[in-house]
Amino acid sequence: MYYGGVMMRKTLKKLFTFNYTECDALKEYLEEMALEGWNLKEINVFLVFEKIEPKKLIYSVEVFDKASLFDTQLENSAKEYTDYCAEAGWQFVCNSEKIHVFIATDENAVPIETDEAQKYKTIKKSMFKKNLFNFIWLPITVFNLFIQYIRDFDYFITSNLRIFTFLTIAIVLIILSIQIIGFLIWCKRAKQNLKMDQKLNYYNKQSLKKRNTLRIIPFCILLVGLVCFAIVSFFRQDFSSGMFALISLGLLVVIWGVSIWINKMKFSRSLNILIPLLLGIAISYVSAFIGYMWVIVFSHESPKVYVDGNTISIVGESEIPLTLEDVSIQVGKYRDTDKSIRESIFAKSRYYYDTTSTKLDDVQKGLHYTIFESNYDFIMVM
Amino acid sequence: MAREQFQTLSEPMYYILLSLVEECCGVDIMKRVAEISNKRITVGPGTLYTLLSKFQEAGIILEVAVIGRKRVYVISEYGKELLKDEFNRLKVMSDDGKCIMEGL
Repeated sequence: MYYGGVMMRKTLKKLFTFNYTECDALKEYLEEMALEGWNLKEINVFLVFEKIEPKKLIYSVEVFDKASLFDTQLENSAKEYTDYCAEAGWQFVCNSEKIHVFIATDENAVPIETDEAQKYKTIKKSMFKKNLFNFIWLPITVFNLFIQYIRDFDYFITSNLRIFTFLTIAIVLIILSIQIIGFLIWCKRAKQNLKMDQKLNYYNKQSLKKRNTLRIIPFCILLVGLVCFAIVSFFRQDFSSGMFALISLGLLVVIWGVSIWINKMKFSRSLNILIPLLLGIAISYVSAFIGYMWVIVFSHESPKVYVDGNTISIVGESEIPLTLEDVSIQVGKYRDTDKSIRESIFAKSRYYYDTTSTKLDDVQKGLHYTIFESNYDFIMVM
Repeated sequence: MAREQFQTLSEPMYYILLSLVEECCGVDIMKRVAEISNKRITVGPGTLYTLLSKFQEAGIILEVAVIGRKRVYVISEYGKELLKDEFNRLKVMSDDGKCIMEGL
């Protein structure tokens, strides 16, 4: 960037996340940016600023509950709402979901919301609607995690993929829980303030900047983690885990790109709902197909079949530590021998079996055993 | 339920209903409220918009015309009743205070 030269940066993008409860904080932040010569142009995934002469501007950041979470352009009710605001000296700048940003054209413009209790109700309602999905999703996921991962601990601890996805989901869950708890605490305080006729606290820019960093860091960690996981997996020749990480990364890039694109195209509300929905279905089908193909291509090679005297042996792996002969079990007509090894950074489990039967499809006699190893005592205890 | 919610009107509600005794365009209500109250009461556009929706839902005001994006409202009979009740309540309050306050 050359200041005063030919090359002046005209737009600035900032990755900024904010809740409806932080509308005053965002207002303060925008005013600070205007003093530095950046005027908000639009909100998509980023806050997009354009270069202006540094000046003092008065912003107002409002939550308009009738707007949908899927709105990228003003729908009729929102147009009417912005008309009212324009009449009162507030020029509409841009919107994102239920957030609407205005600039005062008149220094003495009446604030857009003059009723604290009503504003609180609007924001609470909007926050609740926005997090409705999380309220449903959270308990289901926790339950699912428990069933799938923790219950079958041996299987879980010997799979890098499972450990990694578990950590990922756990981090997301923790962030969501903190957000929801934070929101509930905010509601409680707001109610107290209303009772005492005090102004509600919609945070300030310092706290917003801190919270923004705190919100972005875990996702950066996850992203870096995913890349590292992919590299390590390929290095260890664990191709299915590596592919999983790569596909996840690809998906993230696609989701990111699509949300930027949708914001840019400013479709109608119904299209904004339809596109992600169709895309979601398409992606699920494609990933199911890829997964299926993966299983077919990389599933274990078909076991070799030997005929030795009267015994037909199906042998996936011939070398196993303990065999039927070692425990003096008579080998019948059919024999099935194999092993499967699972190894993660924490533990390794080797499962062997060597079984026999006199008739095909008959009850098999023989050995099944698992050798479980770990360098960590606490895992062995569990 | 509407009755309960609007049993006592808040100041902005009272003035908005006063200005809707005559037909008035939604966006012009802010000015009219300022006129009637000698600029003592100001209603923000967001607050006004929400209140108008609530009033309309409760049948307190009626939409009489739509000109472009502008909607014209007028108070309903039910609304007038509410407004009169509130007016009388305020009058009683004022009268009750009168004798005592004049002695001060």
